[in-house]
Parts: sequence; structure tokens; C-alpha cells
Amino acid sequence: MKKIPIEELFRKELQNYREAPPSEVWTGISQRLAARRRRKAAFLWGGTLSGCILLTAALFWIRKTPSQPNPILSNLQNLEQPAKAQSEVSAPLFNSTNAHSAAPTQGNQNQRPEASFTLRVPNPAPERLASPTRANQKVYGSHPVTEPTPIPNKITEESINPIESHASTDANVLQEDPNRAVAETLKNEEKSGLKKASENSEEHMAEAPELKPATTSDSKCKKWPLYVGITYEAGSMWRLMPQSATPNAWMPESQVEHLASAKGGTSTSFSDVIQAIQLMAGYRFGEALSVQMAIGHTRIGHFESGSLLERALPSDGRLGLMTETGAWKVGPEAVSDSMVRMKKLSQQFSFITLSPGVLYQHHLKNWVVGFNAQAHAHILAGNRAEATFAQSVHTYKHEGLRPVAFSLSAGASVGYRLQKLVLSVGFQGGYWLTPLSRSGFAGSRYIHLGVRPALMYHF
Amino acid sequence: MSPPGSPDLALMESDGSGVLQPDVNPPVSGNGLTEEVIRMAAQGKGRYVHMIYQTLSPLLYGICLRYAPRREDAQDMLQESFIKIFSNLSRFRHEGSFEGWARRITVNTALEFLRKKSPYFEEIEKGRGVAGRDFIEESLQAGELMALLSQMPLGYRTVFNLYAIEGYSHAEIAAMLGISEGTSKSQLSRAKDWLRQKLIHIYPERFKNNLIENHEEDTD
Repeated sequence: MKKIPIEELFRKELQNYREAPPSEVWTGISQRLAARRRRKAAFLWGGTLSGCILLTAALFWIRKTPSQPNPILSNLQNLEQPAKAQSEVSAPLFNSTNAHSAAPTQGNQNQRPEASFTLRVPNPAPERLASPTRANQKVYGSHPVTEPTPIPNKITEESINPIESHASTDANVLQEDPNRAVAETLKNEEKSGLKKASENSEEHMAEAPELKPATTSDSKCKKWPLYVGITYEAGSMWRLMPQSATPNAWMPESQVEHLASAKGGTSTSFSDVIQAIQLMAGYRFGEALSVQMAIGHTRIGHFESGSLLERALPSDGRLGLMTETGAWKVGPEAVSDSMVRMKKLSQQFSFITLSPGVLYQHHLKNWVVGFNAQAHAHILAGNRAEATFAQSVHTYKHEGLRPVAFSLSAGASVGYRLQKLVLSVGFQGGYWLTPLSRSGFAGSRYIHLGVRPALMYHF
Repeated sequence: MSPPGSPDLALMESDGSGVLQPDVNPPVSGNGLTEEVIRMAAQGKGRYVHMIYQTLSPLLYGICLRYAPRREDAQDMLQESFIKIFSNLSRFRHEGSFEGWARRITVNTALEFLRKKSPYFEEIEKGRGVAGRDFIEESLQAGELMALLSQMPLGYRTVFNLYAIEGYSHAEIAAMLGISEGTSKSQLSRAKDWLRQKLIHIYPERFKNNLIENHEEDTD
């Protein structure tokens, strides 16, 4: 008998040794590959979302207006600087601690005490005397107004006649002031402006409620033209491709049976529905146009019932339901018709949806008319199908779905504004650019139409 | 979950007839997969991915079985190997054999797996770096050899696999396993001793007289 070295024998026999692995290995590999694809898609869209957020933030910071110097202080400085140049006199003309308590000085950014300032009046300069509006330039919030003087919250006798109401305390100062003429002039201007404002204040407030005194939140409104919201959409979907044009591919979860494909047929009663809930954040460019990003959950469902069971459910020949010869079979066994006819079929596909979009809003007093357009990336999160037969219910999972599907939608809405909240309802229509699966039952393209109530909060 | 023996349809495509065809006319030339198949699989085309799996899995599973302590471990190794292969398909330059490339990935994956499991390599005293050349009958079949190999202690087996079957040198083995060359040689020597004793024990009549002829020769 021929003898050969151990190494050579093992090398000869085992170097190309082959053995078929069990099928579970491929199942595991395919699941892991699918999971990797989903993760990749999630990273891709997560990155896109992060990019959009960063872009929005960048836009915001770019557009953010630099904080303006306090106009009241500017006026005072304008008054002070020439005064220092022209005269050393700096005695206070009047202290209007109470007189201007209603003036909106909350926005004052230097550390001067709120609603309390001392107006130092310089030597009379001819041009200043000839310009009565100069001293009257006061600013509420960020809106400079010359005439009439901005409207304080409360118009009181004290605020109208600040000097008179403090005559006892300020009289000496006034008497000692060498520039009384200037003080008188300013006082008269102040009084006339405030009186005029008083007369017109109610009218102004009624006509333009937004012309209320500047507040902290109004200042933020200028700085933060952002809004957040939540929307819910419910509607119907319609297939653009007849079902018979696409083969089905079903795999059972139970490993008990395998429904490979359904040849077309005349489904009698079915409905496809869509439900979506989204959280959105938007950034306003001006009064009307906004860009927004939404993230949410979308679920589409397909329900069939009735005589749908006329449809054949041929199998892959190993296990399943066969109608090739007109006889129903489960595997090799023939079964009665009633056992295999489906009573009901329901499928649900759920997605995590990312939706960048634009929104145009037109304001009519408190009413808001809106038009929006959105692109959607739907990342598959799960799917489930249930087939109800006469005697049993089988749960299936649709295989072959794409990890990401895309759609476009647009809609119009009407809303009502309640201060910072806008409640709206509208219609939304969409078109699914990519079919949900590479092939099969859910492989056709859809359009959908839904009703979409929304609640938005504007900062 | 797929039925036993059924490939996952998620990675296949329908041929339009309503019946899924996992491997219709696979564009495989001889034992090798064509460049086109590899390129399409690298793009994530399910049918081609499955085709590569079908072609290579028996061979790679055989490799995994030689290294793994248990069959379940071999399956894990195979799964991990294919994940690496499919993930790195785009890096394959089509310059050498695709099968050889896949083999190397599988061997490396197996070694990595063993390294994670536990320390397998028993240090033996240096100085026994010379192994005898053992002769056995040619009539032993692959199945018997695999069964024998599967009983071998893991440390011996790994070195024996790498040296005797994969054809790596002791220097390469030392680098791959992070051991010294001397250790590799001694492990091989011990592996052959172990095989010799096992063969005599299992097949006393066949190997009692003609099994071993030692040659004082460096095997490296």
C-alpha cells in the first residue's frame, strides 16, 4: 500500500473539502446584510437631517441681526456729548423716575436702572431748539418713532405731567438751571407728544393689536423667527399600477407555510390608508415663507376583504397553497375550499419619515392660509401582514421591501391664530416616487390624499 | 423567518413570472465567479450576492469546520466571514483569485474567532522544532480525516491547519497567531504526534506497523 506524508494527505484531502452549510447560515447572513443596509440608510438620512439642522442653525445665526444700541441711550448720548463739548453745565433738568415708568425700557441693555433715568440737558444749541422732534425721539422695542410719541402701557396724569407732579422735588433743580428755556421747550414737547398718544392710544391698539408696547417676547420674536408644530395626517392611498402587473412575494414568519406569489385577480374590496404623525420645526424668512424639517412616523395599511379569496395563492411547490390545477392544496394535501379562502387580509408598513419642506403663509388678520410642499424619505421600520382564513389566522412578513422609499407631497391649509398658536386643518396630497418593494404586492406606486390638522407654536 | 432550506427572498429579485428564481443561469465560469457577478454583488444586487454565497459557502464552511471547536462555531465563523466578504467586495481588485481572497478572509476570521474565545496555544518547550515526517495510508477519506482533525486539541489543530493544509510557513503562522516560530514548529510537531497516536488507537490494525517513519528533517 502506498504511503504518503501526513501533511500531504491532509492537504490533498482537506484543502478543498466542501460541505454544504445549513440554511440558517444564509438566513443569518441575509438578515445581517439587510440590517446593515438599514443602518446605512439610517446613517445617511440621519446625516442629512443633521446637516439640515446645522444649515438651519447657520442660516439663523447669519440672519440674526446684531443687537442694536439702545436708542434711548443713544439719544441721551447725543444730547450729552455736545453738551460736554459746549458747556460744563451738567445739572439735571429733571428726574423723571415716575414720569417714564410706563415707558418700555425693559430692552435697555446697559445697566441703567429700569424706568429711571435722568435727562441731562446741554446748553441750548440753536439747531436743537429748532428741532423739536429730536428730544421726542423715543423708541419702543426696536421701532423708532418720532411722532406721535410711542404709546405707553398706562397713561396717567403723572406720566403726562411728569415735571408738575414732581414739582416739589424738582422745582429747585429747575430754578437753578440756567437753561430753563430749553427745559420748558422739552417739557412742552414731551407733554404734547404724550397727550397726543393718550388720545390716540385706544384707537391704535384696536386697529393694530400688534402695536403693543415692546416686551421681552416681542424682542425674541425678532430674534427667533422659529416655530415648532405637530401634524397628523389620515387619508387614503390609491395604486397607480394594477395589482396584476406585479407579482407578490410573501414569506411567513411561522415557517409553516410559504405563499410565494399571487397571480393577479380581481380584488373586490380593498382599501389602502395612510396615517402620519410628524413633529416639525421651521424657520421663517420674512412674514410668509418658511423652511421646515419634520420627523415622524408614517404607517400605510392595506386591507382587503370579501370575495378577494377568489385570488389564487400559488406556492413555491414545497409548502403553501396551490391552485395550479384548480384544486386547493396545502403542501401535498388537498384541503377544502373554505379552509384556504381568505376572509381578510391586512398589511401594515411603518416608516420613520424625514420630511424637509417649505411653507408659505398668508395672514388675513387672525386667519392664516398656508401652502406647503414636502419631500419625504421613509425609512422602513417594520411590516406585518395578517391573512385570516376560515379556520386560522396567519401572520406574515413581507420580504423584499426597500429600506428607504421616497415621496413628495403638497397641501393647502386654513388656520386660525390664537396669539402664538396657530391651529390649522388642510388637505395633503402625495405621490410615492419609489415603490415599497422591489417586486410584489406593495411594489406599485401610490398617490395619496389626506386630511391634515396641525398645531404650530410661533416663538 | 424563512422556511428551512429556503433562501431569503429579500435578497432576490423576481423574474417577473411571479415565481422567484434565486439562481437562474448564474454567470459563473468554471469554479470561479465572473468579474461581472462580483461587481453586481458589490452593488448590493441580491441575486448576485446569493450566487456568490452558493458558490463559495461549501468550501468556506469546510475551512471553518477545520478550525472551529464545534459545528455551531463553524457556522458563526462562516457567517462572519461572508459578512466581511460581502462588505469588502468593492475592495477586491480582480487581480488574483476571488476564491483565494475569500479563503484568506475566512482563515483570518476563524483565527480571530479563536483568539477571542480563549488562549488555545499551549506553550511547549523549545528545542523540539524538528518534526518527523509521518506516513499514513492513502486510503483514508476526507470525512475520516475531518473527524480526526475535529478531535485534535485546538492549539495543535490551528497550527496544523495553517501549515499542513493552507500552506503557510512557520514565520507566517507566527505572525498571524502572535507566537514565536519555535512555538509554531513545536505545535506542529505535537499535532503530528497526536495524529499518530490517534490513528494507531483508532485503526490499530491498519497503522500499527506502517504508520510512522521518522526522518530527522526540518519540516520548515
